[in-house]
Amino acid sequence: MTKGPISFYNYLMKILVIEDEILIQQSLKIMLQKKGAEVMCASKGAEAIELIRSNDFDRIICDLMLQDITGFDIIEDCKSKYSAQEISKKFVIITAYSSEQVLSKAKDYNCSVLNKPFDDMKSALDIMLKSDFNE
Amino acid sequence: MENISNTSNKETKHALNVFLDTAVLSDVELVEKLETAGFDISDDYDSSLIKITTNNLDYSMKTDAATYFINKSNLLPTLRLLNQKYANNKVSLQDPGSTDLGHNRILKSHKKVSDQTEYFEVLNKFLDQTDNLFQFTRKIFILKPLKKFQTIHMFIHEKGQANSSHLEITRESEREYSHTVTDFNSLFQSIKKSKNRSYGQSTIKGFNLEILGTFLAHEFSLKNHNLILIVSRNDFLPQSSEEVNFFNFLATNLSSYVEILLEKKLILDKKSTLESALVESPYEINFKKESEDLESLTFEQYKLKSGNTLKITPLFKDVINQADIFHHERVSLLGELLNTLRHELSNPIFGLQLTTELLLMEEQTDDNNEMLKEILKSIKRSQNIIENFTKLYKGTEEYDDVDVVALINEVFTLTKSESRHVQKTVNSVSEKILLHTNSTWLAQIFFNLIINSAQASRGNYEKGARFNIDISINNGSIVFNIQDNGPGIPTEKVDDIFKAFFTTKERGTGLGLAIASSLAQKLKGSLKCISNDKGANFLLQLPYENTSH
Repeated sequence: MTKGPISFYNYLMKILVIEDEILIQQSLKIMLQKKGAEVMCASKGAEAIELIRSNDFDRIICDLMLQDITGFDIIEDCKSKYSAQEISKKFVIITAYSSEQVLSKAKDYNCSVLNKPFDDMKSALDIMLKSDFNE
Repeated sequence: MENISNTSNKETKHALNVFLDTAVLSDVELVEKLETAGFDISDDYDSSLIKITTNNLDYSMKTDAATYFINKSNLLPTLRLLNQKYANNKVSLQDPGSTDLGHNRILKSHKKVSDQTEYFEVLNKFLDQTDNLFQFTRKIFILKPLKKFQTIHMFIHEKGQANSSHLEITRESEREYSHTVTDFNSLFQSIKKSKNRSYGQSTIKGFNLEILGTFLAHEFSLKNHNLILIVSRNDFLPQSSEEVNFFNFLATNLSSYVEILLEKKLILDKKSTLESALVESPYEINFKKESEDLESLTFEQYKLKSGNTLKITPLFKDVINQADIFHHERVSLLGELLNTLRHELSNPIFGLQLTTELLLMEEQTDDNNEMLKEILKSIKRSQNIIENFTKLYKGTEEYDDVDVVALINEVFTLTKSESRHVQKTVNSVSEKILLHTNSTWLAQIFFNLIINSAQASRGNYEKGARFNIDISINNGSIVFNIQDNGPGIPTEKVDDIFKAFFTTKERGTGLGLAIASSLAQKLKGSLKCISNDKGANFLLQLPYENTSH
């Protein structure tokens, strides 16, 4: 188990996990922390929007079906703060539904989509932690 | 009185027999008149036909009995016609058993008006010429005693409807209005109260009606409608007693003609509603004609194919296969349920998976490590089951290349709890056969057959119960030979088992095989039961295109 900074520049990646299933949320949090990221969590859409407004996250891992709103609503709300390019880099959508509709909408925002359950945990984590600087 | 008619007809079961005496019989003109009386004999919408039999008054003597089939609503004017023409001869009615044909009403209202027969002939002719109430009513102006009248109002309320319609017919024009049922009822009541049938403006005070002057009015309660008939000369002169008499005579008799037209319209309306429902139906409908196989087509396709307009009998159950509706409801319900289940289950199970994986990353005692690995295995299995279930019930009419052997094995897993005691096997010509088909429907067919077999082999046949599917391919079709070693299907029942609601099980719905067979047809194939003493044997044949090379 490797611990330590993710990026070249000893930069602590700041990640928000938006997920209402508490077991998933906490597991992801611990896994990402183990990889050296700073992680915050939100279970509800409103809570998430608050956190996004008051923090600057490098990555936002976002479930689509939340109790109050959908993940796409959260992305829409971020448009006032981030450019389309930033949104496509920051957001990783995680969903149990991978219907055509969802996929095409995610394509519009140009962000990564991970289907739950993840086929391969390691590559899923890689996508979540992929640094902007490596591109 | 005994019915000695030798004309056999399947539909006489509930028929009302009308016997006419010799004098009537001998009159050729009458026979013609009955035939041409205009009552659409071929129109078979009313199944409770009434049989008119003419025979000799000496009932023991067989005569050349003539049998006419006319429908119930035509009877009254016909009888009147007969009676007026033959006022001195008896027209008697006998009911062979059925009580609900309304003949008491007919007998009661049956009055002899011999000198006015000619009007009936005229009215019958009108009825021949038109189905339209407007046109029919307009023709009344031709009747001599009404020559001074200018306007006919007809208020019609179909029982149970919120609005009534009002036809205003003058010698030059016709208009249609709509009134609320409350207005209609109060007009109806105020006309009913009056005895002399002559009315003034005070009667219609408070109604928004343009009726000029004094008028004659009559109200009727028909089978499905209430009717008000008003004739007016558009002046304020009182009607002569002759006019009042004629109006009373006309109105009483006219009502039965109007009833025919209204009933006809009701049935035509029903027919067109049904037709438009069929035309707009997004689903394929099974059309069945006598001596032909069931066909699944959309209405437009059917029309194109048959090349003529469809004759619809207003019996839904003949047109649409009930098993199909049931299947559709079941699949869409199941699809919804599975989608909900999938989402509701897959999230927490995924949570368990992640947590377990986390715990496995940490240092554990060997025992705990083993346990966690077992948990993870169970989780993976649960996830697989959910995945496969949702694959099976896509709920859509999608066609895919389906590995049939894998599909059958999947169905075996799904039916595990019901068919634990049955040893299930698949023998296939090749290990992997890709069939372009709808996996949901195909799985449902096998599912129903396995469940049936498993249930039949409970008890006596439980020991060594086997269920085998042989897959072979020949001449562009794939054949699944499905055989079990259970009690089998008695030869005399082989024809019935695919009928909807046929069941031998105590708690069966009788839909399993009906659905299976209708799905096989939807897949352009067939499901047959083969009589066989080894057990139940089914042959499922589907079109197959070899795409492997």
